[in-house]
Amino acid sequence: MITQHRLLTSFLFLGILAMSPLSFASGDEYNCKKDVKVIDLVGDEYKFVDREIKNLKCNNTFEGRDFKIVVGTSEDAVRYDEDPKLVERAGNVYYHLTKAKNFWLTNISSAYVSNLEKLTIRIEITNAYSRTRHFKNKNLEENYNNAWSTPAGQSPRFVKEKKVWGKEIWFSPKKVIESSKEIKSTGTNPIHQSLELVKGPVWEYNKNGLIYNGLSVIADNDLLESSTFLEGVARRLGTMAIIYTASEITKHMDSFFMNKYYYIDTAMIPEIIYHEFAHVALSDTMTPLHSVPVIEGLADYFAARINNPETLYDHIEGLSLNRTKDPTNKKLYHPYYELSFNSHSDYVLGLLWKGKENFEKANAKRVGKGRDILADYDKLVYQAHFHLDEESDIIRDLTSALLGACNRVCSRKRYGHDILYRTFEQKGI
Amino acid sequence: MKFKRSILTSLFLSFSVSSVLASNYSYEDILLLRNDKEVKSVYFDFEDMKEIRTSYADTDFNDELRDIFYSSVYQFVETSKLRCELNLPSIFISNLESQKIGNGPKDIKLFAKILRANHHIDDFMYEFLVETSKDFYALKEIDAKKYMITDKEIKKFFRPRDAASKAELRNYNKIRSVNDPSSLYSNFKSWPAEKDFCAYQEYNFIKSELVDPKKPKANRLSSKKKRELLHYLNLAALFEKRIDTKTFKKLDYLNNKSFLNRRYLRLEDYLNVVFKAKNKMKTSDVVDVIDIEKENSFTTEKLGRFTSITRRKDLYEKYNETQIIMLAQVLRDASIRMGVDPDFETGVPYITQEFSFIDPNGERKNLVEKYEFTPLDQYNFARRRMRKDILDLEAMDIFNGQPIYYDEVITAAFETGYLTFEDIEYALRYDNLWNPTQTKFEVVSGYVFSFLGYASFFVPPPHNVTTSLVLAIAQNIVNSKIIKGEENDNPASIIN
Repeated sequence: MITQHRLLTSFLFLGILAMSPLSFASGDEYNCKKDVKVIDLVGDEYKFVDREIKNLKCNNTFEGRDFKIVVGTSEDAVRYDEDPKLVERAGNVYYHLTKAKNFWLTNISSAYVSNLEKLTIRIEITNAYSRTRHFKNKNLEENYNNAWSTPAGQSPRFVKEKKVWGKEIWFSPKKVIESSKEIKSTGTNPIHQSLELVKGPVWEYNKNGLIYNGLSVIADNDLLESSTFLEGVARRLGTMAIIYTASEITKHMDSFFMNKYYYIDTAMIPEIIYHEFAHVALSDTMTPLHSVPVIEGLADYFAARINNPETLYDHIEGLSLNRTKDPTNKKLYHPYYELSFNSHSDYVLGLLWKGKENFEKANAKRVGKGRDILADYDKLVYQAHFHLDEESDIIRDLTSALLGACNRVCSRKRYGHDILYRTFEQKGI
Repeated sequence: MKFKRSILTSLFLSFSVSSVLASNYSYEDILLLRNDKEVKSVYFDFEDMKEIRTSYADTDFNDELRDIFYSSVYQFVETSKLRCELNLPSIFISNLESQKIGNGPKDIKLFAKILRANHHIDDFMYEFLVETSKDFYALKEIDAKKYMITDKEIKKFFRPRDAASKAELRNYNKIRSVNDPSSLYSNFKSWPAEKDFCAYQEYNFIKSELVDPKKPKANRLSSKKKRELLHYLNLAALFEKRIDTKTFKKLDYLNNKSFLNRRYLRLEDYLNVVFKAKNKMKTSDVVDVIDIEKENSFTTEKLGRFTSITRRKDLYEKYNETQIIMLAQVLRDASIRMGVDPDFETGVPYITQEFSFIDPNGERKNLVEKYEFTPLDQYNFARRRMRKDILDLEAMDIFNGQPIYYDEVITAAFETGYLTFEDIEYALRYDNLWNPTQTKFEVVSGYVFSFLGYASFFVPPPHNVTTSLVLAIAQNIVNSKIIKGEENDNPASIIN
């Protein structure tokens, strides 16, 4: 038996040796580099800087070990000698996707990301995603100023030309839109919202004052001839009229707080690229079929963690006039934030970011006292995603998932839970 | 913690051979005296402590001192009645002498400082050691001297000439008439053997039996009154030759000058809490304390600006060991319910409600509604329930209807080891639910008004003054009374 085993071992060894040239060849395939100009954070500002992309196929295209950048619905990688605008976008996307992947491998130690197959990245694509055909016809829907991650799929059995596709990230082209024509003013500007907050109490206060004045007149009719009394009534009515008018006027002032035009070149904005890659990295449990607040919030969080900017999706002249997101926003919870059209608000991002701040403080305290850290918060959030899916809500599922993740990641359950509960309270949950 | 073999053999084992079989305490119990709770000291600041540690950095000596002290406490709790408190300094001093280490009141004070600075003892034990050693030496001094009282002096007392002396005799006679020295001082035929019943215990016994001639039925007398009554009663015992002059002097010292008669927390009560409650509820989630002086000082903060009583000392003075355990259990139950206890897995609570109705066909139909708590519902529910548990405790006989404050629950949980230093910060916020510092509306309006407040800074004078005034008035209106329920409501949880 021992002899046979040795024979088997030597055959295996020979087999490996015989296959080794192939392995070496595949290794050699991705050893080219390319210098590109990309937009990156330098200090507090985004600037064009020179960077190098590694592990590319040596065929003068943006196809590498991890990503293949294509244009529109094409399957061919973008060549270096194509339109410089396309090359610029392809280079930018490739560079930042590599950076994002390194973050997920190094900081998060994601086994799922390390096993990801090569991703196809589509830039300048205007088609919409079809679950049965991969691409919807342009006549049906056209997309601009957007980016999204699409799930893997295949065409149905009855289709003659079978097609199978993997997970992809799509970046549609920039298109300048005049905001005032597209958006109706609903009073979402800060002046109107502040006035709305004060309007109710001021209105009630003066209304009660008028009722009291009315009762006084019943008791003493002579008051109607008193100029002081009438002046007081007039002042109350005037206050009510002013606050009401001001509220009505400011309701239509949204345009004063918006840019005249709206556009965003998604392939050029680093955080959008990180955000889309985060969707792919989290897609083992959270399939990016549609936007929900929890999925988008988690992707925002990880996008923000790569460069730690003060605000996310900053305005960059000529490239983006998109709404920025503030990770440190002070918004308090409202069931309104659970609705799918609020998936692009920054509430979930703010909640997760507040948790990060609280955990960082606790970690610093513990280290200062010679203890180990309480938890790597990024890993805690990542762990939480295993308890979530594309149907998860904030109030029940996200909070439970974070607490559950802490049981595994936190070095002290009680301290971790206390901090998370405190975070939830700080965010109005 | 290692103990030097030599001291163990010479002190610890030598005296305890006969009592080992009947031992109530283990050496691990004695180790509970180590200070792992008090971050700050009332007697020294951090710099003083550091200086003491630097000046007396001889580790061998410090360890030896610690071992002698712990052995002395062990000897005390095993061989003496806990109420004979002066026996502890006596044993400690005698053990020091047998090891030829220091002698005299100054040395004892220095040793107590070294023990405290190295956290071998806490503030209570430090104060006790320093002050009772003074009492010990004072009584020893009385013992060493010769005192005489002549019949002439006694006669002089009973035949007063001036008004003051006459008043004193009247008081004496009144007090003597309602108290019987023959039974009260029966154990004082000679100075009592300190091992069986000590002078201090006898002194306390007499104190508890005193009757005030003005209020013969009063159950409780003030300390001042007791001191006054005892003065005359001691005189009566002396004049009737029930005690000798030395005993009289000692009782007089205990009555008027001793530390033991001034303090509120007795050694016995302190030791009962230390041995029976301290660190008895530790969880598996312990925290290593590397430098206690860097930890959360909540329990050692003073209760007021003009008092030296800390939260921890207040707990020891107000509650006994059973009550402390019960207070800590309130927090433990709440922690289990909210799911933060490291040793318990907690399920999600839910409410079910059944309904029945008769449908148009005349049939009875039943419906069941189930609401599953969100994590925040669960958290808030546990906190509300804890409030109820605290009120239930107040209503129990053992707590005698005393109000229980949430701070005390936290201090008790910390004392029993259920909470660690780093848990205090967050556990203190649990009561924010029933004792909020800000309403939800104030939280929201705060942002708006602070924003507008800053904005008024940029308005040119004199309008900025007017703007600020208007803002202040508006804020007052908003925060006063016209608040709708919805604005105070937390939409995220059904339990607010």
